[in-house]
Amino acid sequence: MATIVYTNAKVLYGGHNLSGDHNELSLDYASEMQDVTAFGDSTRINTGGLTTASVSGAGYWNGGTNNADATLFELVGDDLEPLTVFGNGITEGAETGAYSMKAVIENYNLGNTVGDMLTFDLTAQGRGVK
Amino acid sequence: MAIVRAIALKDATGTALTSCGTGTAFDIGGVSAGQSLYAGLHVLSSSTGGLLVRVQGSSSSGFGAGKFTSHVAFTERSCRNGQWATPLTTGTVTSTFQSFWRAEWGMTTSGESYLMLPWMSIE
Repeated sequence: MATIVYTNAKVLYGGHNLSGDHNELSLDYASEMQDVTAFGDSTRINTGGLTTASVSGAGYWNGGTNNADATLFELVGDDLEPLTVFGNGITEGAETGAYSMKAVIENYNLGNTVGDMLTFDLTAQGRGVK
Repeated sequence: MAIVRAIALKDATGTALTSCGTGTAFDIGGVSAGQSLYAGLHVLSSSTGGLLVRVQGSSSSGFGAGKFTSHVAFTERSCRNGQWATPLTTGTVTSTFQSFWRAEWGMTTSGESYLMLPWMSIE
């Protein structure tokens, strides 16, 4: 069983390596269920529809040129950048826990309570792979 | 399909490349009927000049002269950038069966330096 302790995720968005700014990163890959239940069926029948993918992340606000804040603020709504995530570091030639999609950043949120670190979270939605 | 499993062909995210070269050849497999070859590039730093990156396939790991094909050629870049190549199908990967793949990179002038990561996927 190849399990890992999640300590070395990487996230590349276009020309930016945002790995060091994140402390949470998750990928959601799903198929939209379509209900095709008909008279005579005794259970709900679903069939797979369009697939969807999204990446959500969170971390510490990091200001300054080319750092996470400047990068993410400018890229909200941008739909030109590939987003690639690695679950356990980068290993050349290995198909292990690395995923990529065309992505658009849906939201970039900042904030926290007084006395705590200023943090951010974001969500990027997939735009397919064609 | 909304996302692909990526295989890094060259990890230059931590140490910059400063000269032309090729990456290790990996036996990833051929593009079978119904599959597509996907490729992307992250250029993570800027330099004066231009970075050219290609994804090449060959039937042998040696990538001998005249025995490989450049299937994907990313647009030359000198600044931070991401690119998603147009996917290739069996109809466009027209050479004979090629299971070995590698990245090749070139720079237009001397003294350039780039952090970058090209990847590919066959799905």
